[in-house]
Amino acid sequence: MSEVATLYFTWKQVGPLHSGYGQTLAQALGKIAKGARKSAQLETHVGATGSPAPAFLSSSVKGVFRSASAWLVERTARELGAPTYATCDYHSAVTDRWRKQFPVPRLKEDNFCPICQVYGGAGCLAAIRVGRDETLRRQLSHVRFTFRDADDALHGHARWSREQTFAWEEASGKKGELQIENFTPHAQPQPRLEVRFDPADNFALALVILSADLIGSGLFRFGRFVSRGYGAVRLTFESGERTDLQILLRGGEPALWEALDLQEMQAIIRDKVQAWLQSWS
Amino acid sequence: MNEKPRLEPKPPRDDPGRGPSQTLARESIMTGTAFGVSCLLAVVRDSQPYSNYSLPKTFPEFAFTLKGLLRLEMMNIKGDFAKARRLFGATTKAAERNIRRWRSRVFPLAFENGGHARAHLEACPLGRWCAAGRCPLLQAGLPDKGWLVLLQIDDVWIDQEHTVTFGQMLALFLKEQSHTLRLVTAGSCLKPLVRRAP
Repeated sequence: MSEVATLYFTWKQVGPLHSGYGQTLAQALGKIAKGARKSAQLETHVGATGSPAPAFLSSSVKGVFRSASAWLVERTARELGAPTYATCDYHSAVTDRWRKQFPVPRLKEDNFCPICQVYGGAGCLAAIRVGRDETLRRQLSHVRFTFRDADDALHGHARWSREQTFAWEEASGKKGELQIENFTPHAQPQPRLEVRFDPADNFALALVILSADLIGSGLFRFGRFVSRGYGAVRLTFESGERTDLQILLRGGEPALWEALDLQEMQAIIRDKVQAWLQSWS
Repeated sequence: MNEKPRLEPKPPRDDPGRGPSQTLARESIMTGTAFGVSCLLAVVRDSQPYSNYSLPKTFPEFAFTLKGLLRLEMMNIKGDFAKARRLFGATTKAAERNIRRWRSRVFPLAFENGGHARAHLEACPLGRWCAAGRCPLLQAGLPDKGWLVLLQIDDVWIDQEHTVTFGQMLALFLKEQSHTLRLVTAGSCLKPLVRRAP
């Protein structure tokens, strides 16, 4: 019987965080006038009667975790001497000009890359091969991200957008006083991020926890305008639960799960990536 | 008379070197990703670094304009610094499919004083990934007063031989070229990796 797990992270914003409509989309939707230096921040009502507050969609969290995980797997593969990229995330970014330098590996058997195995995917490296079974084209995600007890879109009953004025570098000179973008720097209460694994395995758990470290350092960021340094969030592992699905079905309580230490988690990832590299022809 | 230089912004269409600059950024990202993290900590060297530009008076404005200022400073220096500025992120129509825009490889963060910077670095989760178990930047003494700037770089090799990283180039820039900032210390908790030839 497979195991399921849930990890909890505290989510603390380091600076502004912006989600929702950017300028282009907001223009297309008619939320702001064409050419206006404004953007629209997604907001939700907390509860049925609460006033709207800036919000961040929990569904957008997975992409950042996936990016961080792919980076970590690629780093591990390079440490192990991989001559090309090891994940379909990076292979899909290689255009024809550099394809000779980064050939797609041929695999000995049907398998998905380590990232698609955890986060799901369609068109993974395993599906690129020609003349093989085409049933292995899609892998469902084993992880799901939600916010718990927080003022995010998950708990909202209605959504609307509030206009925000952009401040551009030029605004500091001839065009008047600089206005600072300040979207959601101090969301209260700070959300709690919940990551559910079904099924759960050591690799997926270790990958998500280590990816949270990379995200927490600011290397990977959420939302829009990340190039400016927005969207940095400190994620701290709070607690975890892991148990056999059969026990839960019988009405049992999930068991507490202690995170492994850093070296153990790195070893788990190294073993998995090593096995993946060895599966190449 | 020691006259200060001028900071001269110019739009991309007036930049004759934009082609090589975009190529350097694209090549670095596509073939030179080093999967390493480099961090640079700098302090303000001069609050009026240019004859036509002085730093904003308030900290939020300084933090907001920081990245643009660094980019502008690099643009005004000839050679590789000017080319590499597009690793701060760029959008271009004159590029190949899928690489018409790329995000900044640098995460700039400003602090009002050394205490705030120290608290941020002590809480950085990558500190435990370092051999010493804490952020290498903390080994240097941080100044208590004055604004500080942290540049966290998702590093790339900027030459084809993979000998120089963007982090090393930015460190040199802050050490010798920038009129606004001065490098205090540099460190890396995840060292850049070289790719084995296929």
